[in-house]
Amino acid sequence: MRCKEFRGTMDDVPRRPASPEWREHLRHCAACAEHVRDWETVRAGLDLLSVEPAPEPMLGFAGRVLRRLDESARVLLSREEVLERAGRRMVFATLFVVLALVLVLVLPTTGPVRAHASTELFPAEPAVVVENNPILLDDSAANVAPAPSAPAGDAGKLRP
Amino acid sequence: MGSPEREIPESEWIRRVQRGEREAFEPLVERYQKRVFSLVYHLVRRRDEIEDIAQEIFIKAFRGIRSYNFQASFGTWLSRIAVNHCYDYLRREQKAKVTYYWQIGEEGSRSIEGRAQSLPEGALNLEHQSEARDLAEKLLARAPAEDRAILVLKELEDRSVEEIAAILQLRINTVKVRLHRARKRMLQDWKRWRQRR
Repeated sequence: MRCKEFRGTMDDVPRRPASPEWREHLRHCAACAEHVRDWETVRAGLDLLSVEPAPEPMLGFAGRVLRRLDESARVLLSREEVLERAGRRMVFATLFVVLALVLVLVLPTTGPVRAHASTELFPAEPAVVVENNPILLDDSAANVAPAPSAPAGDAGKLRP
Repeated sequence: MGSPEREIPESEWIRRVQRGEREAFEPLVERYQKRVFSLVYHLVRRRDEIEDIAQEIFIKAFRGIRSYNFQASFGTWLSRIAVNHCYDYLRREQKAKVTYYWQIGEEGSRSIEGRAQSLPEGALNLEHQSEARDLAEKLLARAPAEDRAILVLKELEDRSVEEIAAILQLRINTVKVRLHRARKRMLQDWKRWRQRR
């Protein structure tokens, strides 16, 4: 029997009684004899560990498991609630943004809400016609009153 | 114990839990708590953690009970959850390099291993028994999580190879090979350890 073959079959040592072949091999092979001795020691230790009593569950263990299940269910529920609330807020925020976008796109670019940028709030009065106006005919150009909306620098000038 | 409630077969309790009857889980916990405690103790070997770990295992089982299809026994299915949970726990502990098994220190472990080396052939006396026990415990603690799981199931829990295969979801031959390798690695570890002295 070769060493490899021998070691492959020795998993059940020392539970299995050694066969004559084994004994013969062990008599001639010091390495395998040491291997068997080591394994016997470890196996003895494992056997002792296996019969060592494990701690018993304390009284009411099942009840504690159920209580913990309840607690975890509650945590799960509150987490779901938080998520639901956050989701609802997200939906409202999205709706608001969409509504704002729709208003921006739908509303006309002019009108009471949005006046045209170039439009004056106080339009200038029409220009005074001097040619056939009897009041202004005899006066000099300096007597012509400036239009009320005209800026100070433009006084005395006629508007086109 | 003789009440009609207790005489309901296990499969009925399981079906009730699957239907959402939380209370039906209690008799299942009561029936399997000792087995789970023993498995956790052999795998993790921390008395102070056993109750917490066992509770987590039962909670996992409760949450996953709808996936239980009655193909394996409930005990095997529960053991699978327990082994996986302990395996994750051991890997986390190994990652965190928690050396709780080695709290006696290098010197102490050397003396145990030294004495174990001088163990006589044949029957072990009481002193040597304790040394062999300590040595086996330390070798198991040093073993990788996969090796420890399979060795514990076979050597400490005395489960059959078929049952181990069902728990670890492996083929029977794979279990045999892994078991052989795990034993071999454990012995090699001990030899290396001795050579370092």
